[in-house]
Amino acid sequence: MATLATAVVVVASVACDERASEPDVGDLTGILEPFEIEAYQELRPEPQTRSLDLRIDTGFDEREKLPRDAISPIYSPKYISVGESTLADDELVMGIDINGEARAMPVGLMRFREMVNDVVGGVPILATW
Amino acid sequence: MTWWDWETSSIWSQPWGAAISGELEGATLVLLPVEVLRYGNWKKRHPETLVLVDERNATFAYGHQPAANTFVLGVDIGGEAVGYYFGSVAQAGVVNHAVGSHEIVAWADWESREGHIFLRSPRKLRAGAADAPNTLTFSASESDRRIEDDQTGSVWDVETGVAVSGPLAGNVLQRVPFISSFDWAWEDFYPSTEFFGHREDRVPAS
Repeated sequence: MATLATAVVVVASVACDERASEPDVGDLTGILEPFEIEAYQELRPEPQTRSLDLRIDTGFDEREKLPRDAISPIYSPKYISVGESTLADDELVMGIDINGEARAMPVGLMRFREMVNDVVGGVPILATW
Repeated sequence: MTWWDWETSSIWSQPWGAAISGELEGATLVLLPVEVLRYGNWKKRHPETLVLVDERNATFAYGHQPAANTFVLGVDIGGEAVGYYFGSVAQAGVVNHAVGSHEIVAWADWESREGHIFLRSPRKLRAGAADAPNTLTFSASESDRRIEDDQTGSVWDVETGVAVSGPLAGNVLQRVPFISSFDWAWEDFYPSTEFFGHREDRVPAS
């Protein structure tokens, strides 16, 4: 609760400052809601599924599946800073920000690796393309 | 695509985020809001962002791919699904819509390929919001990447869902996670889905 109270105080002071001049959106991270995984869980408590016949729906038998890691997932992601990166500005990325920790995952890389296992802002995530 | 997990070897479906066979069958993951956008726009908003590279420090150029006319922003919330045609949302500029009982606002930009969806019934309004209605209706604003609510005239930033001026300044809309998909793939996994818009909709080249 102490953390929540602090957050509200910060919000109030930022909101007052805003009346003077419209803020640069880049500086607004301080007023964003603390990340609550529950909020997203509530939105989608039971994802839709339907029963699958794996053989029909995937079109192949279990034994014909790709072997494990045939598409090489990223288990220990490696990151560099904006300053170190030579990625072109018009390249597409998957962007996620959890608790103030931001990650950009270039689509050019994601389409080859397809899965990234990571922990962002304290939340274990799987990013997939 | 399906995945398996090392711990139990259960098989998971990507479009559902749910285990479909094995020990964990029926288990689900929480879909989080990820954005697909140009790196330049992302780093402008998040200068401290880290950038994923592979083991040899490489990324791989994806290049300038135009959005396909079959491209939808797929939303599955509260047991209801809607596929929003990207071109239709971009053409409309701002879309006020509902997914089941959840009122949402969608915004998309054809050129940058960016799309954003938020709940337009803020759960926790604060700072000058005492008299605000439960559900806001949005229209385009004169400023780029800003929308305006009809009820209070507050101006909101479409990238962050933050009200930047007006009576509701300082409030934040909750982002709605969506899955970027082709319409046929979306319908295959969400057969009861509704679609918003049409494949033919697009923004004329300027």
